[in-house]
Amino acid sequence: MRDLLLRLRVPLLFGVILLVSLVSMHADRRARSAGPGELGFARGMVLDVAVPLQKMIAAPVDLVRDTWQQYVALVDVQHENDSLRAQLSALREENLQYREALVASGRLQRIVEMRDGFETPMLPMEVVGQDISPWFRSVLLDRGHANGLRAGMPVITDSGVVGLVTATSENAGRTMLLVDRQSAIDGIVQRSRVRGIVRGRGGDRLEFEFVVGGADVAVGDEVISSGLDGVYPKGLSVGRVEELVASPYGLTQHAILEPAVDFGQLEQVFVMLWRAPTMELLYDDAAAPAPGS
Amino acid sequence: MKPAIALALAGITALILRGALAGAIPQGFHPDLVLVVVVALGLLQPGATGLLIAAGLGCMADVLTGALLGQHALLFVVAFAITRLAGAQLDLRRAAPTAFLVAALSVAYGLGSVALSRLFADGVAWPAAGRLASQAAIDGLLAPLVLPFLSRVVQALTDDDRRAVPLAPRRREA
Repeated sequence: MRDLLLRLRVPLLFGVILLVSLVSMHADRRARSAGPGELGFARGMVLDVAVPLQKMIAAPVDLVRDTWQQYVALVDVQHENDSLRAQLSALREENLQYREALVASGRLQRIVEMRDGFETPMLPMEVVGQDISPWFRSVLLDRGHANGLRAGMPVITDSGVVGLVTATSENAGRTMLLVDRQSAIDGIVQRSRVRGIVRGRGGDRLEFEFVVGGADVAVGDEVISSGLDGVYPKGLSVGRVEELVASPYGLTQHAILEPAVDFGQLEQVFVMLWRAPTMELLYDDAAAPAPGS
Repeated sequence: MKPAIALALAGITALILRGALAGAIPQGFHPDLVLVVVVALGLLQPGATGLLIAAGLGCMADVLTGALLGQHALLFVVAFAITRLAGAQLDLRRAAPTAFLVAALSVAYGLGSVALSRLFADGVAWPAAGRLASQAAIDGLLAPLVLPFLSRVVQALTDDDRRAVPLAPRRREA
């Protein structure tokens, strides 16, 4: 019997690991459904060890990349600069016209109110590592709950929505990017107020789903967060419509969005030290700062 | 024992390197070094130790990516088992079969990741065929470069281990 067990130990161990993995995944899913929060000791320790190492390794790589981008790759910069100045001038003129149009339609007041909604404290953080698997899209941040970071807080840059803090340890945090397949945000088209769900596709584009067929959505439209999902505040830039895809029967359509944020170039992000009331209920940790505080 | 520790360290280094270098490599061209190390474990440490190291690397990957705990562990032990089975059928000392095996595992790993995500969460989309193909090509090309290196390291450490075994003193015949 002992010989048989010894002979079969590898297949037996394989079976046990498979079983334990499945049970662990199921338990993890249930725990997350109940409201994810701070990581346990072991998981926190892995993050706390990995983040400084990744930061250390990334530093010389970033230095080489920055040197290349800021010096070597600037051979045609004069020509590009002239072209950009011309574009900037045209865009300024266009922007002025848009502002006039907004004032005329009485929507400026609403934009001012929307900006007021963003007046929440923000914590700047550095992205020290990206996902280690091609099939998940998340980044590691260099601060954790010691700095006030909590799961459920929105992460943005000056360009728009980056994602959501999903887990924190003492000195590190993990953010699931908007382009992750499991990310979703309630969005509206800024121009026509058409509403839909924006989902990550795992690559570098987003999908704007559940747009009713015939709705007023056009290529180039800006999509912003609606605030109705109870996760992200209203009015954050999400992306721009790149392509419209109609279903075979024309009842629904969806759009492919170019994200407002360049996820390949994330270096510094801002975490909004704020969680929507629904998120407060979901996460239910007393240590979290009060909304708007 | 030294080869197992070396391969475990190689796996951890691959995990950390992947995260640190992701920003410097364009999206869609990230080689999956960890998968290659798991294949190396299947070839060079085919026993229970290799299996446990593969599972451990999977758990670390789960923590770092935010995947469900056990997801990568399951995929890595399956990749380990497939490598063992393939090793009995193919001559994996040659570059072409190795590249083919790693490319196939890369596709299976991508599909498996998404399949497990779909099993436990709604609305997770399947990866595009082009993305799978490009990932498989990158991983397949990388494998014949990395595996011989790991193999040489393991070989050197194995020889060291053998040298460390004290030889019994010969008895002088009277």
